[in-house]
Amino acid sequence: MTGPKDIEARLREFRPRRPAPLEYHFELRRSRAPFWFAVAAGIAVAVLVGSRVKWADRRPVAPAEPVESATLGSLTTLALNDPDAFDAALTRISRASLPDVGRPGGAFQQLAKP
Amino acid sequence: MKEDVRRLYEEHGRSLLAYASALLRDPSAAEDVLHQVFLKLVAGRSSIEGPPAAYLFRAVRNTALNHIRGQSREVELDSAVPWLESPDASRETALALQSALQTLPADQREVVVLHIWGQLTFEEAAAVVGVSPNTAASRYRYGLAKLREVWK
Repeated sequence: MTGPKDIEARLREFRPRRPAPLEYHFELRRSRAPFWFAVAAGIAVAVLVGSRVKWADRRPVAPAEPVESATLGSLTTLALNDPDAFDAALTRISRASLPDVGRPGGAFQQLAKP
Repeated sequence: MKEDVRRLYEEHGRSLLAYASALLRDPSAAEDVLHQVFLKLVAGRSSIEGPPAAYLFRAVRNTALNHIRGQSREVELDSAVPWLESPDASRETALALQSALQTLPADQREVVVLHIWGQLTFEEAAAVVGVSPNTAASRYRYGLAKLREVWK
């Protein structure tokens, strides 16, 4: 080997390794996603489901408001892909499922009685 | 996944990984950097401006440098992982060349990798690195000269 052309030719005989398929890294990235997102989604669903059961018979007959269906899977996916949309969904769901704390004669007023 | 991004990955993935590996000297971190760049493209958080190859090499460089800045201390490098494939399929031959490349100053090494395996012209490599084409060509010549001494 004497000149730059020789060493260039020799270097070009080597080939960079192929990286892993892009799809593999999508899956890896998903599995590495912050754990607390999944935990938060799980807790949110548990709270919502629990509150529905607990307050179902105490809620006044309210004007029918469409209740957004939420599953752990759908909320987790939303939390991972679009945190803003996840927050918005939780807000919408909570409006329809959590007790109305301002309702006259509601639980908070009962608890507040001396 | 967007087809055009997948196509770019197929077309440039090898050379981009080589470039990231040369910058980081850590093949697993290099692969991570490569995928950060492509994940941003797929998610639409970045878009390609200008020639795709030049954009991708710049993006890999910026992400790799951010990665280096983010390291609080020197990490143990896994020098036994080849990011090159030798013509005789020998792992030792590939690792020997990688070791020789590591003896080059970083600015020479990256121009050598960009020109040889990235197949960029000196003008394109200079734009990626942010120097003049003459400087890129000079770094390349010095890099090859040193490589000739150390790579047997």
